Amino acid sequence: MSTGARDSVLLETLDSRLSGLVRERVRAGDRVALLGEAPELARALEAAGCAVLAVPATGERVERMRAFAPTHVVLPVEEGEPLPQVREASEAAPGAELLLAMRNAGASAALLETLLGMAPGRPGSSAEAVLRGLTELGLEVRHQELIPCQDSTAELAPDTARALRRLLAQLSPTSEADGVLLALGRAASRAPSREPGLLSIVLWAGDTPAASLDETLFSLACQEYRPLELLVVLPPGASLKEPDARALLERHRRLRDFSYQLIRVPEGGMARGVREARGQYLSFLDASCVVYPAHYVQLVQRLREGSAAWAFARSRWTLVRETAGGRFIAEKKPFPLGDHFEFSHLLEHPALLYGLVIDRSRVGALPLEVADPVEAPRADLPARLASLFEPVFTAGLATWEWRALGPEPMALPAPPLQVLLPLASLEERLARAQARGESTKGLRYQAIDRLNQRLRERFPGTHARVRSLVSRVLR
Amino acid sequence: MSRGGPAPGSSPVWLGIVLYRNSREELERLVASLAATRETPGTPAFQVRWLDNSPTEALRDVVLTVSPGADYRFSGANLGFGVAHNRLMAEAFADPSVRHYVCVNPDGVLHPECLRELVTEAERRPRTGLVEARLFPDELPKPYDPETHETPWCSGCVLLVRRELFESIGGFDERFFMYCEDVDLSWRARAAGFSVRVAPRALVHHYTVTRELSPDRERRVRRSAALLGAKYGDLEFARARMKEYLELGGAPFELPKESRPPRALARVADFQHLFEFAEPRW
Repeated sequence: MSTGARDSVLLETLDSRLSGLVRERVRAGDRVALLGEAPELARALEAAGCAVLAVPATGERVERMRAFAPTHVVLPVEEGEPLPQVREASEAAPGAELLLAMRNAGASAALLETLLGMAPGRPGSSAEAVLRGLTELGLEVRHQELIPCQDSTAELAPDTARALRRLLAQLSPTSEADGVLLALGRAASRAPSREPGLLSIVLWAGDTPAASLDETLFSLACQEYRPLELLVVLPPGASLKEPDARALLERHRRLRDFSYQLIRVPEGGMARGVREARGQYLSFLDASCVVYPAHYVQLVQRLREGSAAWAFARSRWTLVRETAGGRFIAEKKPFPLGDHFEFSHLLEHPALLYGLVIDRSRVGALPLEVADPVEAPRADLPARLASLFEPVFTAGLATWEWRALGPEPMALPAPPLQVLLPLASLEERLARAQARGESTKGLRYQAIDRLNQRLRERFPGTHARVRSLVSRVLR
Repeated sequence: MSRGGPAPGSSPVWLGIVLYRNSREELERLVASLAATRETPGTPAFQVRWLDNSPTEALRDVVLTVSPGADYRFSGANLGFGVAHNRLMAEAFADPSVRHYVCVNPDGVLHPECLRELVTEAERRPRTGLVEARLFPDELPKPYDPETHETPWCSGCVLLVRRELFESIGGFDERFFMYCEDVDLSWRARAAGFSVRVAPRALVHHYTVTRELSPDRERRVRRSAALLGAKYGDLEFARARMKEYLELGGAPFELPKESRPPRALARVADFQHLFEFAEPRW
């Protein structure tokens, strides 16, 4: 099928899917304004007991809509830019739900066809641009349907086309859609504007004793980095109660000021935290973590010095025992990260999510929401970030700790991802891996480290005697 | 006396802060933490004394700005850590109502419950000599018993000294200008039968790992370590540290010719773990 013919089919599909969506969302007694020609739909709605305002003339559209006071406004499927019509309708009928369907100019299949010279550029806006514009208009998406792209890979090997499209989809998920249907309503609150230099930390306090959150907040209050904003996610079922959490926050912000917001939703609190975050810089933390004072200063500094989109730091796994007298730290060991960033580290140690800072001005439309870590942290976001953006890794001393009552949880299976990597970087990694394999010196030390660890765990008394002997010999 | 505190003489706890060219920001944070400490329920009344070892009195204005009415004194010379705290401690314990003296490093930030927990721990058992706050966020790896909280030695960062101990063995050995005087006081306390403990719930934010290494600091650490080795009769340790000290450009000095230390002292000393002075937990 030619590109032009496929676009005609898409417009027809959008038209019929929009009619279906309208029928699903209206009830008898609703008042529906149809801004485009849709006589069949108008008849169906009237038959279903709705009042219908059909196609008011352009010059009197606003006045007629105001007078009609619709519960729903249906925008016509058009090839152009839908935002001006959305703005007009939302101003004329501020309480109404807006229903629209649009062709996505940012669809990856269409973009590839354009790049390969198979079709002209698709007119109009990308779905991403429309979604961003809706936020600025104070609207939120109540329902969304995506019409997936049809493959048109005749001039590319199928795997190559798929890989290119997957990369685009990782950056902007709506690029997988040829068309989009939306139901919009007025947002409860306006999306926060981005504040340059502000660091927003989304802090999970879902299953945390007060003592643990207290330590996390104490370490945050003593951070050298400012300005700082905390978005503390405390689901309603959490063992820690809201007044106690507020008391801790208020107590610690006296040491050095930070702003905070408590997020109390049953699920999706972390994602909500990301949406509410105002900072140019974004980080995540769990109330089992503590950060050393220069942690964020160093990470942000590294971002400012270069062009990387995100940075992460070395960390330690700390085993804590709760005793009658307080928290006892039995052991600290570094995450085995080496001196260079390796993709596999992120997959093996999901808790590394808590050691990163993202510069949101450098990641485009990449979705930054993370799932609530109900049982364990998840590596999805770091892996998605790493697949498109080479990070800065601050090797050297660890600057944060994960404090746990047990061993590090098993990592979940890696998400399927396409990875964008410069050839030089790939070669460098392969060379490092090869050098590690060939270095007998390295292997010897690795073996000694393993032996030391096992001896210490299984025979602490013997370990102490050997250590003492070695100290004497070496000193 | 700090603003808002009780009248002099009526506080059972004194906090001594020895200054040396500190930044205003550092002192603001410390004072904010002292204010939060004062408001924490269960915290005993306390007074604060500031003794400035800096070359000039420039910090007087800073201290009086961040803590109006503060009791600030200027030493006129860099007395060193131990001597300065000994002066304040002697003054504190001259008042019979004072039960505890707490050394507080000016670059620390007290957790609001720190002082309450220190005092609670100190009064939990008889014949307690010293109680230290737990360094946070990266505590010292030296061991302590998770049940009894006994530890081989206490850090001087935030250190509670009980009257009973001071009256029994005195304060810091003034031959140590800085570093290791806390280890020495702890070992002397243990040798005299006092309990030396950590208060696990008393946190002080104090992180110095990323501070730039200064040759002066490295020399001072080794000089004090050499003194400690000589004092407790480990001449091998003392000579090794002295050698490092001289290699770092330290001015030569004579190690004290101590007589063989009493068995009680020798029993508690630990020179097997270099500057850790105890087997580390990790």
